[in-house]
Amino acid sequence: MFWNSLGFVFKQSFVSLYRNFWLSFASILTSMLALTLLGFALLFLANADHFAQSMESQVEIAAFIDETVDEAGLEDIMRAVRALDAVAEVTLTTKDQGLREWIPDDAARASYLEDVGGINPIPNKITVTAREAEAVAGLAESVLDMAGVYRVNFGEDFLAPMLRLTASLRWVGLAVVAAFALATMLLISLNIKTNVQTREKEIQIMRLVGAENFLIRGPFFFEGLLIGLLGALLAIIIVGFIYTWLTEYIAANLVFVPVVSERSTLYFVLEIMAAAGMTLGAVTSAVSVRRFLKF
Amino acid sequence: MGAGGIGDCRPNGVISLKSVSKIYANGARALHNVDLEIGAGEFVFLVGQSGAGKSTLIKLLYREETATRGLVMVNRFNLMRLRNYQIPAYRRRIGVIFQDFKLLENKSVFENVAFAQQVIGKPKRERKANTDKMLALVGLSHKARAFPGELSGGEQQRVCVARAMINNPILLIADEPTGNLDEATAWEIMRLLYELNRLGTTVVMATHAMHIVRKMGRRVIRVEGGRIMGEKPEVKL
Ligand SMILES: Nc1ncnc2c1ncn2[C@@H]1O[C@H](COP(=O)(O)OP(=O)(O)OP(=O)(O)O)[C@@H](O)[C@H]1O
Ligand SMILES: [Mg+2]
Repeated sequence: MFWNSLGFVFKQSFVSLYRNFWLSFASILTSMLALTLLGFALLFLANADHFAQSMESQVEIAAFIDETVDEAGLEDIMRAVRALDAVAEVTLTTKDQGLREWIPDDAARASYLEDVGGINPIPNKITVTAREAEAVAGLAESVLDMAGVYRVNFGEDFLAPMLRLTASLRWVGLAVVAAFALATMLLISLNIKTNVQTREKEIQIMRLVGAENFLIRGPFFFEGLLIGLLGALLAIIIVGFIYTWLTEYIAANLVFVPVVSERSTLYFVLEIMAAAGMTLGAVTSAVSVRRFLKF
Repeated sequence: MGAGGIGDCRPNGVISLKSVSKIYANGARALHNVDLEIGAGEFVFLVGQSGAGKSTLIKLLYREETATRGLVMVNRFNLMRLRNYQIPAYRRRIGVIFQDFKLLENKSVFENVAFAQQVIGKPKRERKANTDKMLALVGLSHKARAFPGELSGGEQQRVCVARAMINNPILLIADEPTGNLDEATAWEIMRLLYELNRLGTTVVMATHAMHIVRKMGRRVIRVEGGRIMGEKPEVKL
């Protein structure tokens, strides 16, 4: 009895999908678009985070020390910096080391020193590495506040705008995905409404002869679910292939761009897409069935 | 016979209406204080002018509408208390036919009749056996593969009777089943209903066809302005 009915529900949903072919097609396509966008948005964010992290981890704060600070003062400053929160590492580059790094060749260095009157112009430098990316800016400020530190350098110029960009892209991406999800919901709802209308007489007869409610509502519900699922399936194929191809291409040709190429990230995103597709279909049909199929 | 109370109906009562009123959402008063008892195995005509309330009464019986006041009992189902999810179980115990047939044009005669069992989850083999039996009963075995559009009005109504009766209801409700048929065809349907009634089905039929009512000689209930204005008991022929 139950299996007979279930067969009826499934068959009806497929028949309904086929009956309004172009409407179903449009619905599946929009849901595919919505989910494809969702997939790429998520992957983009994952990459942006990854990128930001790899940039941030390279970002160190360089603190330049006044000439008036002696060796003991240097030690004090380093101790104070180490005591700060979020500090991972503190290293000292002395004037001499700095000069040597700048002009490695001994002869060239000697002649340069002669030119500037024997006074090494390179300041003592303390390099501070932050534990977390978010802490860099705050840390730099604290270091600058210390007596004897006259200047700090860090990746602010590059990092801050990038973080701001990803943050706003996050919202734009969310808005675009939401817009397409809304379009999908409207189309699924229209699909169900149309099918309720074409099957009006059949539904009337089913009610008259005592068909259970799930048999009347089931096909519509399942049809919406199917639209979401088919859209998700297509989107998963598209996103899966394009992303795999893209990461392989970048890995081969743009070695310096750090991309997230772990399969687990991609699979996780694809799973989210499938779940989103099903939820979108199921929720929309549940709502529309309640709206269009009253007792 | 009982002496009152909610459960009071005839010993084999199939339908029991007590002080039933129906006011539609738009304010139209379709039934006023209707009392009606119909026993098992009866054949009852509902007659009266257009707008008298016959269809409203019929709709209360198959729970398309609910009464505004009063008590409606059918087949021991209290229709005033029936919840939405209980309606299917109730409808399986009754059969309904209409003036406008309500057949599915894209399904064959066989499929139309079998549909009533398909949608209540009967297995295919059982469905086929029952449908064949019902089509034989209404004399349409030879038209099983035809589509409703290829049938005469009388034949279409017989398909509807087969569909209404396939789940073995104890009550058949008919709203002007001969309204679209010529006299000879109408009698064809009446003979069929007569036969079903003889086999034990209670029949309630709303009609304007007074010549049929007179000739059948069964119990007649006259509805006027939403009230029952008189009754003519069965005349044994
Ligand atoms: N769905 C409805 N909504 C509002 N009023 C209704 C509805 N159905 C019927 N009525 C009103 O209720 C009254 C009784 O109508 P009903 O259909 O029961 O009459 P009837 O006896 O079946 O008439 P007929 O012989 O023409 O079929 C009429 O005044 C009608 O206008
Ligand atoms: Mg009527």
